[in-house]
Amino acid sequence: MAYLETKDLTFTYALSPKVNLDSVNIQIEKGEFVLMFGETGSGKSTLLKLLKSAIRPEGELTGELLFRGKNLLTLTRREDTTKIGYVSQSPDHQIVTDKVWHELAFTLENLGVGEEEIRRRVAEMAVFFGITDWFERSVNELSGGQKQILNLAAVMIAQPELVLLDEPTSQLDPIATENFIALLKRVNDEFGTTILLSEHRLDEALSRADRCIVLHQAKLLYCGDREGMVKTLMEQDSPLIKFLPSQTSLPMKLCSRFDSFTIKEGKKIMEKRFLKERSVVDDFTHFESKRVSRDNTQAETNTKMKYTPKHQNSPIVWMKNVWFRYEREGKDILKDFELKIYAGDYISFLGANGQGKTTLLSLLTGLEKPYRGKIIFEKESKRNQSFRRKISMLPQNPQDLFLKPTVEEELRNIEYEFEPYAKEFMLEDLLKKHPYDLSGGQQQLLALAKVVMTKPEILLLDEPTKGVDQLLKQRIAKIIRNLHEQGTTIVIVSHDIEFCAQNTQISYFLYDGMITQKAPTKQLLSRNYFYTSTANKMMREVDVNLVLEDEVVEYAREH
Amino acid sequence: MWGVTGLIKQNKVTSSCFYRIHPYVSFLYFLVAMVLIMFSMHPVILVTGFLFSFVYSIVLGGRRQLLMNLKLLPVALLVCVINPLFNHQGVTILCYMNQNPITLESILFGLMSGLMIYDILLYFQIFHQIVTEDKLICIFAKFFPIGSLLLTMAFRFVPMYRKQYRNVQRAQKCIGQDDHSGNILTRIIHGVANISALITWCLENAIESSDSMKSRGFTLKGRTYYKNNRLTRLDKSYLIIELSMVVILVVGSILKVFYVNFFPVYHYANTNPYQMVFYVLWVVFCFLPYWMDKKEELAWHISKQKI
Repeated sequence: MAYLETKDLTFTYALSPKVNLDSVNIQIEKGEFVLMFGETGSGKSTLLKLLKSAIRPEGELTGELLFRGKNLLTLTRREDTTKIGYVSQSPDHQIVTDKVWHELAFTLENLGVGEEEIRRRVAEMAVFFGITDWFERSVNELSGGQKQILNLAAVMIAQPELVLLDEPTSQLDPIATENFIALLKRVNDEFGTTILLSEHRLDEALSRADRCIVLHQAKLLYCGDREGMVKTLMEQDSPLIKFLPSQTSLPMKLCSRFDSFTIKEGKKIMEKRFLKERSVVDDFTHFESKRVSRDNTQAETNTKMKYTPKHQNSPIVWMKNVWFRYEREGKDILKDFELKIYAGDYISFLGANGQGKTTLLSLLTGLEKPYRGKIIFEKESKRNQSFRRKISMLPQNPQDLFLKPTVEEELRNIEYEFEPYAKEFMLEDLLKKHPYDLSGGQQQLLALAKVVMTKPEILLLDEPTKGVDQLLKQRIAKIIRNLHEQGTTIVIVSHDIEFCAQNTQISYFLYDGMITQKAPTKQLLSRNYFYTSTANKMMREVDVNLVLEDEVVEYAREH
Repeated sequence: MWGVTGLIKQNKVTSSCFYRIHPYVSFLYFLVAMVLIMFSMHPVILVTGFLFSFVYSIVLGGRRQLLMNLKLLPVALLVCVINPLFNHQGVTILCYMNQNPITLESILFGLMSGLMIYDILLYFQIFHQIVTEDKLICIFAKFFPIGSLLLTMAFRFVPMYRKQYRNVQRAQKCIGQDDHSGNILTRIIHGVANISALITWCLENAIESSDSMKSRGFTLKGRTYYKNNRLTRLDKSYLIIELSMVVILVVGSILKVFYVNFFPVYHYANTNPYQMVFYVLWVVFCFLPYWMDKKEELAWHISKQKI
């Protein structure tokens, strides 16, 4: 008897024309770390919500839901609260109280636990989750990653047996994601808590999962161990292969190996495939010579960039020794910042959180002003209309842009003739929907459509792929590429290394308010040891210039 | 335990003993002192209150607070001046102004009211530094549990909504839908659109908040209310001392020791020995925060010397 089991589970939301879950059979054993994925709208969230009685959606349900052999639907509210925990997507909206300690205590207060007992358990959880340093802070001061850790801790304090997580890292940057998933694995290891995690970025989670559940178009595609999952996706040639991280998909495609889930494993397999003829000594000299030649090419390109400027014209935006800080006594966010953007550029800014990337965009849009230095916009004085009007920005949170009750009005608000845009942005079927009813990726498309419809000459994009699944990401990449071909200058700020490598020409690496590296994107990444694409990490000893997955596949064809 | 809240930097306020003491103690102090100052016009009460609040606010806030105190002075002076001009009660006529009598009693009354208002202003300066929002919630959790939870949630959500409004404004500005430029009509239209967008955002996301509350067992029967601080022995002993002083002061008020009559003739209870006891007690009570800080400082030094 499985710990958690569904038998022919079928569910249709009230008033929904189509089935949202279609005869799904899954089995989960106690103490497993289960990873669930599937494209947007495949029914992941629905399944998770059905497992949590307190928030079970309205609709028609057939089939069985068994939790430890008993019908899950007969759990009392109190059992549901103590045995099953639920963490949702948004770090912000799950938090109810204003202080970290109070948020931790909230569940226990609801359960009617006494004061001394609460004090004991809160203290214990704070230590386990490393919250002690910000225990007395106001939640409004926390970063997104900290908020999500707090949400997990606030759920774990009730000592649940099963924790459900609905894309908990979709709003987090890669480092916070890594921390969160590692913490989740620790919870799984040390408490034996069963974890059911739904994700659309598998880089971190797949290597830690015991079991995978794959949903595709409301149906169960696979439920079982990881290797079987990879094999099944490969055999069916499913579009969901795009979800697999490079360390899994490259060995799968090139070596028919289905058991590689960490970069270490992937690297070993790939090196065996490509370096098998060479001995260790050869290998070393080969690597050395590669490095020397790379250094030479780098030196060449550097000189090229210095002495033969690609651009004949003057820059359209020139940030001249810009200094910026938010408060008078605060620290400098940008320091002596120097940047030239030319018409037709397609550039990206990479770097960790809090290094000034978003601030840079708000300076370019004129939302903020530098306290020292100048930002010169080309021909600013000659036009009577301010040049800045032609700079548009896609904000980090697409919801900031939504004003109207339907997608159609939202688009019409910017331009009356919106139909061609609706088609290009795949919003045709969604015109009558409320913007908030769209999925995260669709919201991103709508926001991008609104921004593009203002016909900017310079388009600034702040994390355009945040919370977007792999399939929609391709679409967004294509749209931006088209705009660029039509002559729009594009500036991207992103944590998505693969996306930037695939699309942008030149990248800047920001650290501590300064540009520490500037180079063509692929070259910049291949130079880095840690801050680079997964494919590059695996292949760097074979050929350091391989950055993208497609390049590796191409390389394999030649060798 | 209130060390980090509000002020990240360790400064004079957060390091003072009066700040660290249990909120019951500090809140009771402010309650009694401010009620007495407001409802008694007795010069002893007002002058002591003035001395304490002026000195203690500067102890906490330094030079910046001194400037603030001076800025508040005109308010008090205005009250002092206005009263004799419009209030003509009292028997001791000093002179006439536009055929209206200016009386000694109304001048005294104005003086005392001005002092009273100044005292209260200064007390509030100290109050909001010592009794922070979360301490208020802790106090009220005992008596109005639901109200204090609502207050907690307000402190959580109001800043978040404010931030979101700013985000909406900025995002619209970045696509040229600016509510700060253009003619008044377009500005109003954009402003209204932004506010309605904010409301939608709040309602939509409130669903997730309420899901989170439900899934964590809110609305189950028998909810308890947790406070992140407990009454230590030190808190208890201060509370007992404070309470006994309060009882005596209340007795004094009932005996009309702090009663002053301005009209028609200025008159307050004579300073006979038994009343002096109450006045001295008030002075001691009024400076309680100061004594507490000094006592803790002394205790610290003594404990260091023992090493």
